[in-house]
Amino acid sequence: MTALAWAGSVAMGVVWGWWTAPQSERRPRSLAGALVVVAGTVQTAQIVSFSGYAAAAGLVGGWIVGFSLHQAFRTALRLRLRERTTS
Amino acid sequence: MGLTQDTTAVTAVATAASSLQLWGAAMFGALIGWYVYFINRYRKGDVQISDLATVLGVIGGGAVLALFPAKSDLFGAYGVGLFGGFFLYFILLVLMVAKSPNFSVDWFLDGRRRKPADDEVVPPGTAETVHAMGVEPRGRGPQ
Repeated sequence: MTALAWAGSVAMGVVWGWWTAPQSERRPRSLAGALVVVAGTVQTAQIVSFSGYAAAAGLVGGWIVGFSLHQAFRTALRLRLRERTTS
Repeated sequence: MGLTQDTTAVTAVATAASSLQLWGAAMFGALIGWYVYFINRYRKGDVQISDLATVLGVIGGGAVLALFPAKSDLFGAYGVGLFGGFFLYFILLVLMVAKSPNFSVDWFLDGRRRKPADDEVVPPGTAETVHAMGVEPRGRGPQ
Protein backbone atom coordinates (compact mmCIF):
# COMPACT_ATOMS: atom_id res chain seq x y z
CA MET A 1 0.00 0.00 0.00
CA THR A 2 1.45 3.32 -1.02
CA ALA A 3 1.71 6.38 1.20
CA LEU A 4 -0.81 8.22 -0.94
CA ALA A 5 -3.34 5.40 -0.68
CA TRP A 6 -2.90 5.35 3.09
CA ALA A 7 -3.23 9.13 3.30
CA GLY A 8 -6.43 8.82 1.31
CA SER A 9 -7.82 6.38 3.86
CA VAL A 10 -6.97 8.74 6.71
CA ALA A 11 -8.47 11.70 4.86
CA MET A 12 -11.70 9.82 4.23
CA GLY A 13 -11.78 8.86 7.88
CA VAL A 14 -11.52 12.50 8.93
CA VAL A 15 -14.44 13.43 6.68
CA TRP A 16 -16.44 10.52 8.04
CA GLY A 17 -15.67 11.48 11.64
CA TRP A 18 -16.58 15.12 11.14
CA TRP A 19 -19.81 14.06 9.46
CA THR A 20 -20.65 11.62 12.25
CA ALA A 21 -20.11 14.02 15.15
CA PRO A 22 -23.19 16.24 14.76
CA GLN A 23 -25.34 13.26 13.88
CA SER A 24 -24.41 11.55 17.12
CA GLU A 25 -25.44 14.65 19.05
CA ARG A 26 -28.74 15.08 17.30
CA ARG A 27 -30.00 11.67 18.21
CA PRO A 28 -31.33 10.99 21.68
CA ARG A 29 -28.89 9.46 24.09
CA SER A 30 -29.94 5.90 23.48
CA LEU A 31 -28.70 2.55 22.38
CA ALA A 32 -30.09 3.25 18.91
CA GLY A 33 -27.94 6.36 18.58
CA ALA A 34 -24.83 4.47 19.57
CA LEU A 35 -25.70 1.67 17.20
CA VAL A 36 -25.97 4.08 14.31
CA VAL A 37 -22.43 5.28 14.89
CA VAL A 38 -21.05 1.81 15.50
CA ALA A 39 -22.84 0.29 12.53
CA GLY A 40 -21.58 3.03 10.27
CA THR A 41 -18.05 2.62 11.47
CA VAL A 42 -18.15 -1.15 11.08
CA GLN A 43 -19.67 -0.81 7.63
CA THR A 44 -16.93 1.58 6.65
CA ALA A 45 -14.32 -0.81 7.93
CA GLN A 46 -15.93 -3.57 5.91
CA ILE A 47 -15.80 -1.48 2.77
CA VAL A 48 -12.08 -1.02 3.08
CA SER A 49 -11.35 -4.31 4.79
CA PHE A 50 -9.89 -5.79 1.65
CA SER A 51 -7.45 -2.92 1.60
CA GLY A 52 -5.79 -4.39 4.66
CA TYR A 53 -5.25 -3.42 8.25
CA ALA A 54 -3.22 -0.34 7.36
CA ALA A 55 -6.12 1.20 5.48
CA ALA A 56 -8.59 0.25 8.20
CA ALA A 57 -6.33 1.71 10.88
CA GLY A 58 -5.92 4.88 8.85
CA LEU A 59 -9.67 5.19 8.41
CA VAL A 60 -10.42 4.64 12.09
CA GLY A 61 -7.62 7.01 13.11
CA GLY A 62 -8.96 9.61 10.73
CA TRP A 63 -12.45 9.09 12.13
CA ILE A 64 -11.18 9.81 15.64
CA VAL A 65 -9.40 12.95 14.43
CA GLY A 66 -12.42 14.22 12.51
CA PHE A 67 -14.84 13.48 15.35
CA SER A 68 -12.52 15.14 17.88
CA LEU A 69 -11.97 18.22 15.72
CA HIS A 70 -15.70 18.73 15.36
CA GLN A 71 -16.29 18.30 19.07
CA ALA A 72 -13.47 20.76 19.86
CA PHE A 73 -14.88 23.30 17.42
CA ARG A 74 -18.35 22.99 18.88
CA THR A 75 -17.11 23.18 22.46
CA ALA A 76 -15.11 26.32 21.69
CA LEU A 77 -18.19 27.98 20.20
CA ARG A 78 -20.32 27.02 23.17
CA LEU A 79 -17.79 28.31 25.68
CA ARG A 80 -17.50 31.55 23.75
CA LEU A 81 -21.26 32.00 23.72
CA ARG A 82 -21.56 31.10 27.40
CA GLU A 83 -18.89 33.56 28.44
CA ARG A 84 -20.52 36.29 26.43
CA THR A 85 -24.01 35.68 27.79
CA THR A 86 -22.90 35.42 31.42
CA SER A 87 -20.62 38.45 31.42
CA MET B 1 -6.80 -16.86 -7.68
CA GLY B 2 -9.20 -13.92 -7.63
CA LEU B 3 -7.18 -12.23 -4.92
CA THR B 4 -4.04 -12.60 -6.99
CA GLN B 5 -5.75 -11.08 -9.99
CA ASP B 6 -7.05 -8.21 -7.86
CA THR B 7 -3.62 -7.59 -6.41
CA THR B 8 -2.10 -7.62 -9.85
CA ALA B 9 -4.71 -5.21 -11.13
CA VAL B 10 -4.14 -2.85 -8.20
CA THR B 11 -0.42 -2.94 -8.73
CA ALA B 12 -0.86 -2.24 -12.42
CA VAL B 13 -3.15 0.72 -11.71
CA ALA B 14 -0.87 2.05 -8.99
CA THR B 15 2.14 2.00 -11.23
CA ALA B 16 0.34 3.15 -14.36
CA ALA B 17 -1.49 6.15 -12.89
CA SER B 18 -0.19 9.35 -14.40
CA SER B 19 -0.19 12.74 -12.74
CA LEU B 20 -3.19 13.74 -14.79
CA GLN B 21 -5.10 10.69 -13.59
CA LEU B 22 -4.16 11.37 -10.00
CA TRP B 23 -5.25 14.99 -10.26
CA GLY B 24 -8.45 13.87 -11.94
CA ALA B 25 -9.22 11.46 -9.11
CA ALA B 26 -8.43 14.14 -6.55
CA MET B 27 -10.64 16.71 -8.25
CA PHE B 28 -13.44 14.17 -8.55
CA GLY B 29 -13.08 13.48 -4.83
CA ALA B 30 -13.11 17.22 -4.10
CA LEU B 31 -16.36 17.59 -6.01
CA ILE B 32 -17.94 14.74 -4.06
CA GLY B 33 -16.59 16.09 -0.76
CA TRP B 34 -18.01 19.54 -1.44
CA TYR B 35 -21.37 17.99 -2.23
CA VAL B 36 -21.31 15.78 0.88
CA TYR B 37 -20.97 18.90 3.06
CA PHE B 38 -23.64 20.66 1.01
CA ILE B 39 -26.10 17.79 1.47
CA ASN B 40 -25.41 17.60 5.18
CA ARG B 41 -25.93 21.34 5.56
CA TYR B 42 -29.29 21.37 3.81
CA ARG B 43 -30.55 18.06 5.12
CA LYS B 44 -34.04 17.86 6.60
CA GLY B 45 -34.51 16.10 9.89
CA ASP B 46 -32.37 13.69 11.81
CA VAL B 47 -29.98 11.23 10.36
CA GLN B 48 -31.33 7.87 9.32
CA ILE B 49 -29.64 4.56 8.67
CA SER B 50 -30.28 5.13 4.97
CA ASP B 51 -28.34 8.41 5.15
CA LEU B 52 -25.36 6.57 6.56
CA ALA B 53 -25.54 4.02 3.79
CA THR B 54 -25.75 6.79 1.20
CA VAL B 55 -22.73 8.64 2.50
CA LEU B 56 -20.76 5.44 2.88
CA GLY B 57 -21.61 4.55 -0.66
CA VAL B 58 -20.38 7.93 -1.82
CA ILE B 59 -17.10 7.96 0.06
CA GLY B 60 -16.10 4.35 -0.32
CA GLY B 61 -18.78 2.35 -2.05
CA GLY B 62 -18.64 -0.07 -4.91
CA ALA B 63 -18.96 2.55 -7.65
CA VAL B 64 -16.00 4.48 -6.29
CA LEU B 65 -13.93 1.35 -5.86
CA ALA B 66 -14.77 0.36 -9.43
CA LEU B 67 -13.33 3.67 -10.60
CA PHE B 68 -10.43 3.77 -8.17
CA PRO B 69 -9.27 0.32 -7.02
CA ALA B 70 -8.56 -0.05 -3.31
CA LYS B 71 -4.91 0.24 -2.28
CA SER B 72 -4.11 2.18 -5.42
CA ASP B 73 -2.79 5.72 -5.64
CA LEU B 74 -5.94 6.69 -7.50
CA PHE B 75 -8.03 5.71 -4.49
CA GLY B 76 -5.66 7.67 -2.24
CA ALA B 77 -5.91 10.74 -4.44
CA TYR B 78 -9.70 10.43 -4.40
CA GLY B 79 -9.67 10.30 -0.58
CA VAL B 80 -7.41 13.31 -0.28
CA GLY B 81 -9.60 15.19 -2.75
CA LEU B 82 -12.69 14.24 -0.77
CA PHE B 83 -11.07 15.70 2.32
CA GLY B 84 -10.11 18.85 0.43
CA GLY B 85 -13.56 19.49 -1.01
CA PHE B 86 -15.37 18.76 2.24
CA PHE B 87 -13.25 21.06 4.37
CA LEU B 88 -12.87 23.72 1.69
CA TYR B 89 -16.64 24.14 1.90
CA PHE B 90 -16.40 24.44 5.68
CA ILE B 91 -13.48 26.90 5.59
CA LEU B 92 -15.21 29.10 3.02
CA LEU B 93 -18.33 29.00 5.19
CA VAL B 94 -16.31 30.15 8.20
CA LEU B 95 -14.68 32.93 6.18
CA MET B 96 -17.99 34.18 4.80
CA VAL B 97 -19.64 34.10 8.21
CA ALA B 98 -16.67 35.99 9.66
CA LYS B 99 -16.81 38.58 6.91
CA SER B 100 -20.56 39.13 6.91
CA PRO B 101 -21.96 41.73 9.31
CA ASN B 102 -25.19 39.76 9.51
CA PHE B 103 -23.76 36.63 11.10
CA SER B 104 -21.47 35.64 13.93
CA VAL B 105 -19.90 32.28 14.60
CA ASP B 106 -22.87 31.54 16.85
CA TRP B 107 -24.69 30.83 13.60
CA PHE B 108 -22.92 27.49 13.61
CA LEU B 109 -24.57 26.65 16.91
CA ASP B 110 -28.19 27.60 16.44
CA GLY B 111 -28.51 29.48 13.17
CA ARG B 112 -28.94 32.92 14.76
CA ARG B 113 -28.48 35.99 12.56
CA ARG B 114 -29.42 39.64 12.41
CA LYS B 115 -32.87 40.56 11.22
CA PRO B 116 -32.99 41.80 7.63
CA ALA B 117 -33.07 45.55 7.27
CA ASP B 118 -36.30 47.31 6.39
CA ASP B 119 -35.51 47.20 2.69
CA GLU B 120 -34.37 43.56 2.70
CA VAL B 121 -36.34 40.35 2.55
CA VAL B 122 -35.59 36.66 2.75
CA PRO B 123 -38.26 34.81 0.76
CA PRO B 124 -39.76 31.90 2.69
CA GLY B 125 -38.11 28.60 1.91
CA THR B 126 -34.91 30.16 0.62
CA ALA B 127 -31.84 28.08 1.40
CA GLU B 128 -33.10 26.85 4.75
CA THR B 129 -30.29 25.15 6.61
CA VAL B 130 -30.19 23.06 9.72
CA HIS B 131 -27.69 23.74 12.45
CA ALA B 132 -25.31 20.95 13.07
CA MET B 133 -24.30 21.67 16.63
CA GLY B 134 -26.84 23.11 19.07
CA VAL B 135 -26.25 25.61 21.84
CA GLU B 136 -26.35 23.05 24.62
CA PRO B 137 -25.52 19.37 24.66
CA ARG B 138 -28.44 17.12 23.81
CA GLY B 139 -31.25 17.00 26.30
CA ARG B 140 -30.22 20.27 27.95
CA GLY B 141 -31.51 22.83 25.54
CA PRO B 142 -32.91 23.48 22.10
CA GLN B 143 -31.30 21.63 19.24
